Amino acid sequence: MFVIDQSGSMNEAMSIGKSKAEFVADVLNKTIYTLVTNCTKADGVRNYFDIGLITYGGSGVNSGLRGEGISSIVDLANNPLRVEDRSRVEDDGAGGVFERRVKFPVWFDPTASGGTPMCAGLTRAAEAVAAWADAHPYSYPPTIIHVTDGEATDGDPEHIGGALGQLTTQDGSCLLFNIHVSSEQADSISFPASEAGLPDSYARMLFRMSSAMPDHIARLASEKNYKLSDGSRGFMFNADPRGIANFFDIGTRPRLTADR
Amino acid sequence: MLAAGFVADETIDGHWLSQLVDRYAASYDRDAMDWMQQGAFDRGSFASLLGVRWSSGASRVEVVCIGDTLLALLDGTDVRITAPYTDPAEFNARPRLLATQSGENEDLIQEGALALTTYDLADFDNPVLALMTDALGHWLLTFPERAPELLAIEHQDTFENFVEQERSASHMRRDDTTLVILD
Repeated sequence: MFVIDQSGSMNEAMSIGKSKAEFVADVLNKTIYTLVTNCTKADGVRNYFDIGLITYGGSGVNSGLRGEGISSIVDLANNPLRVEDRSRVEDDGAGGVFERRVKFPVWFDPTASGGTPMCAGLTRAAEAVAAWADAHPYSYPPTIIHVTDGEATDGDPEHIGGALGQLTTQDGSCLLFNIHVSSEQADSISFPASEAGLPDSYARMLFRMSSAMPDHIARLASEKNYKLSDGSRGFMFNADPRGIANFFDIGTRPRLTADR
Repeated sequence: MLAAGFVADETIDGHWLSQLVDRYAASYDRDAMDWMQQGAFDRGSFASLLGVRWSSGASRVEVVCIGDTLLALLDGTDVRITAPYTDPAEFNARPRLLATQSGENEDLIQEGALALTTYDLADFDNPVLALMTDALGHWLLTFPERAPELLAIEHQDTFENFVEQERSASHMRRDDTTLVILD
């Protein structure tokens, strides 16, 4: 489940020239693309995952990549908004690079306006995840990736984050990972294990709302050269574009593919 | 394609694998694929390879074991040698697999995973080779004393019942169960 902040401040440009909203949309589309292709076998796309999306911003809270809270990956694979022709620079295996044409599906367009109704957005996410967990009691528990760049304008979301982390399937508890994206050149903090060192009460609240990282996810983060310690949580503060891409990659790999 | 290449070609090395990768790529029209097929094609496919063939000597076999698979050499029903793993916990690690994208094969080639190992069956009174996929391999390394049960199976129905029974008892993982016995 992706929960995306679409408040007006997401229009601010990042160091790479794109706005935060544009970059997050790119990463989200790439993440879904990767999940779909990982489920694509010779006989088509296999229904290994369901994916949900909640957005919150000036237009309130909205659900779903296709107007539904949570969709099967097969349904998403068959229904992108459009497929764009893009190019990608790749290693040619002989010390050089070449440009390759790629068909790139788009499910999610960037938008940003208004305030930050984070409480309402997380509440909607909790409702959707609770219903899904009830319907899929034996499944790998949902992971919620929450992307935000500012403080809630509709109250204190901490208790909602706590409630999300308490939802369970018989395979374990739901995981809530929070990433705070920044357009500033401030130092980012990745996967902290304590509140010490976090710059303000807002960062400390997001830390408390974040789940401890299970071993298989911590291992993925370590493979990307993040320094982790006991109790590291799924939380980044002041994440830059590279951190955002890594965070999505680390947070969206279930145990099976992480192990193989 | 891998199995045919193993049987047909004398030398199994990085060049051999590279030629197979090229042949695989040439057999598809990437530009004609839809985005899902193209994405999966670009990601690549991954395979295990467990190959056994007679060597030049009458009693010798050449073996290549790559990925989450297991070769067991038994003397009668006594497990004497296993490859590539000797401990069931090794099946928990990410396996080295052959890939359709050349870049993914570099480490495996550098580590010498394609090198053939030769075993002389003359060292065994009653040599038996058992080739199996990961769930069975994990089971055999966990319960080597139960090898006689596996070797006694002669029919598909018996094998299916055995797998179901071991799965129900949580002795065997719910994963691939392919078995070939050469005796």
